[in-house]
Amino acid sequence: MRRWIRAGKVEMNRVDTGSRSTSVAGSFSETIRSKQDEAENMETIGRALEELREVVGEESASSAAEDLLPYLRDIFSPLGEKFFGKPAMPRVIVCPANAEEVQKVVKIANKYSIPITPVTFGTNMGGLAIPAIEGSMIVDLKRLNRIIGIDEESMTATIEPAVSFGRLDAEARKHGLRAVSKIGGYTGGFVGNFVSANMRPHNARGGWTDPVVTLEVILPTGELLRTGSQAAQGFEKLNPYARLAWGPDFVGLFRGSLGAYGIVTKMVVRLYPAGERNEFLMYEFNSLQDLLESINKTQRNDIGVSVIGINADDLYTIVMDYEDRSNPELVRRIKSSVLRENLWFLFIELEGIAEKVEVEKRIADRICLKENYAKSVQLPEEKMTRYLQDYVTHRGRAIMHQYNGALFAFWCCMPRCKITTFIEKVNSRFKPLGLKDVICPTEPAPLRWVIIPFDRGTTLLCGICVEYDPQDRAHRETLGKMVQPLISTMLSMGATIPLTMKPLTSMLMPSYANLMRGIKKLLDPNNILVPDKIC
Amino acid sequence: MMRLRDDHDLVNFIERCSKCAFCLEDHRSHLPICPSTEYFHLASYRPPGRLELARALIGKYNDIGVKLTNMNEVLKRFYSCTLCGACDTKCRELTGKSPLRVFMGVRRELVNQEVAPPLSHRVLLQNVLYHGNPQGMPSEKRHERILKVINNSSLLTKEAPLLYFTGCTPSYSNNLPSHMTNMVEILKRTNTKFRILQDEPCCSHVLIKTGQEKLITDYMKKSLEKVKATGVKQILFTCPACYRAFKHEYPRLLGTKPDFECITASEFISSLLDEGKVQLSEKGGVGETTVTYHDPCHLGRQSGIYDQPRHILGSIKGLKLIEMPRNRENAWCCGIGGGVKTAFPEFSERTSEERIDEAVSIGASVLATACPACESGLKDALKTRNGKNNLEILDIVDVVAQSLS
Repeated sequence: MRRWIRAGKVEMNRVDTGSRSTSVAGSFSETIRSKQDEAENMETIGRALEELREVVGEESASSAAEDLLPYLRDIFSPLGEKFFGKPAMPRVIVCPANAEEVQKVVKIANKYSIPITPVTFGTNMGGLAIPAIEGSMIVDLKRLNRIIGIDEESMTATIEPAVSFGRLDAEARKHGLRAVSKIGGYTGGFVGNFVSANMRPHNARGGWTDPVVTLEVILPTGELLRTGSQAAQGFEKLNPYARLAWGPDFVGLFRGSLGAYGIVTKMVVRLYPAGERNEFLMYEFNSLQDLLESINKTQRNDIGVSVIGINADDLYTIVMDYEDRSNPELVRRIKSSVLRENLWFLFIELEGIAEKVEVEKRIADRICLKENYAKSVQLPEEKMTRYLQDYVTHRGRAIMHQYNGALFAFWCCMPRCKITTFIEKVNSRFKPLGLKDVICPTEPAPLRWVIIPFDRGTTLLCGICVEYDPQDRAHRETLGKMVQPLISTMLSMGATIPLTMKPLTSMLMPSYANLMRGIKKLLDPNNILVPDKIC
Repeated sequence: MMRLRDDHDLVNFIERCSKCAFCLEDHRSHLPICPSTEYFHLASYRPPGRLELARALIGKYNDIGVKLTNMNEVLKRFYSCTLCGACDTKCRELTGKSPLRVFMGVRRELVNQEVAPPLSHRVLLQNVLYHGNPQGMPSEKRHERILKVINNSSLLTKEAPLLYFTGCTPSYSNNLPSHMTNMVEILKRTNTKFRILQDEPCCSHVLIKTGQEKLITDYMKKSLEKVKATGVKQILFTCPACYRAFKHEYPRLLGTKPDFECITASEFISSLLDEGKVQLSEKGGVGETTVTYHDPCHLGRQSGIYDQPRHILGSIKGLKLIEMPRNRENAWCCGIGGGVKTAFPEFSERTSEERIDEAVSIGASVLATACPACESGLKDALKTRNGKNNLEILDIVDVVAQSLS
């Protein structure tokens, strides 16, 4: 399919979904293809596997199909392949235990020309960590799971990639500190989310203060790089916890790169003071405009360590667990009372010194209740409030019961002034599809909207999630057809995406795209790391 | 193609695993909860990975030309699960999905197709059929440890409504020489009339868990008939696996409704305490002792019995009960179950060591449990420490017997 760009409209690059992915035209791709042929050579794989096992141990490297299969799907599957192409069977999986082993593994991959896809928790979405190129090596970083240290003076933690949000937060609180909040449950990690996928903590403060301080990265050649103050030799005797040091800030190079520029093996992450008081505010709005205005004003006044706006459908999936949603009468009752379709909700977590929390609470109440006509939310059951608090603070399990089907979701960063129109447009496309709730089929499928402030609240992360039954072909195909129109609508309205995807490369300005390619070539002359995701 | 694919609910779940990873980490302590994940590293040994393998076994990867043909490797991944249910508890509570049902379904299907179980588990079947116990020990020695104690007891009577089902592990494990005598002592001291079953059979639980239930159905029928023939109204189990077998598995597999009540030693002793029928003084007269309690998977997660053992320990003077970080429904498995100790002894031992480390880390001097299999396995792991840890491992019946006033 030809690619074309018209004013305000972009057509995605169609990826050949045969047994091998095709990349963009050019000699670079020919090099990839010939190296793919080499990589697919089983004898090559056998030799590589022998060397890998010498590094990580017999039981931590494998080319058995049984060990490769678990890396081929995520919650977005099968629709995720619309973004990055069909999953391609890798050839080898390796589980290194530390940075030194990662270095050796990367060097072996270079030696045998085997492309690498790094993965940690496997909670990725949209195929971000699923190889779309044949003959690849999965580097599973789950064994790099140490919290190396928490420094109270600098309020930082040095962690490896497989440290979960929940675990670091729990550990930090023993030191009077806390981790940043991020939407969702306690699994998933900082490196994958805040570096590879370029996410941000969900409050205006998070938008200003990037939680990443320094990185230790294994470059695609196997060389080790440290950023920030740790770039100096003997950094341990100097200050090891400063981001801005020694010139250009290379942390930015790796953010949003999906691992294509290097594998992060350590990260120094900012922690924040754990407050003596923690409050959870819940507001209900009759209009999206009032919600957006409240987000705007609270964020300009720096209120809240965690701020999330959602619609009634999203709240429904958070506070109603599987058993509740399986009860049609209860569902109808809740939807006609507490969770009416037109409602929007804002949740703000406050934490800090008691007086500060009290002041912030009064400010939030004034903005939301008085100036923007909100009401305080009263959920009918204590467990619903608990689920909701867990969801907003990522310390609990709540997000788990949201996943009852496969998930179709997309997020983008949208200027505040366009969100209402965007949501209306997207809803007008989805509602006529007549999709049914996968748990309570007498009800329509919830169209879940999430709005999170980024960049001082001027840009909002806005996302839609729809559950679907992966076994229902009609359901799948219907949603599959929505990918292109959804992306086109987003881009035509000025949205941006925190990470880049190869199909969207054509809309970048040439100097930007060329710079990305140039950096890639410089860092990764053999095109080993994640060659199938970014340009 | 596997018949598992005909189970719509299971296929539904297999397709909908969202890879959220909640099955791998406890939400309270943020410690790992899946033993095979921690030991084996590769994703195929984790619950989501096993679900993907199940997906392949029912043909869902055929469209990309992937078929699993090396059954030895498939077996290794499915049989290296202790079936502890930690992942199941996490997943089922909020989503209604049950990974354990899938793993058991795959085991059964592989056995039906005669590619499973591992050889060591087939030996267990032969041992049960020919010797009446998975250990392969002489059946006539089953009650040897308590014969001297009970032969002259006036409490042992054929008319007693309570049957004490001793189980195979307490009968034959070298780690549990006093387990049965301690339980009998408790019965005697509380004037509880009881009987034991001559030619007591194996409950078959380990064979059910290794997927061999179709091969053991006739044996189970005969076992149930033996029990029913006694006319007892209540069966007392010190082994939670035996308890679960008679309470849940026999009705499921044989389609019968039991006409007897199944009761665990923990529930029994706890009731005696509540009724004032037993008084417990200091444990062994040794003064204050710090004890922690290991929740056996079959008793805790899978039967919902958490409070009664704690009630018992809390009633003993001089015992200070402290909890390990992973307790109750989040308890770390001892590593014995699901046939793992037989098929993967090193993995089993390492898992037990992890539990011992956890008990030691909180300063406990006694690690109590309410399962002879857990006790035996933990003791095996402790032996390899060569006395490095000053930790005593005891069953609830041992602690109570030592504390009877």
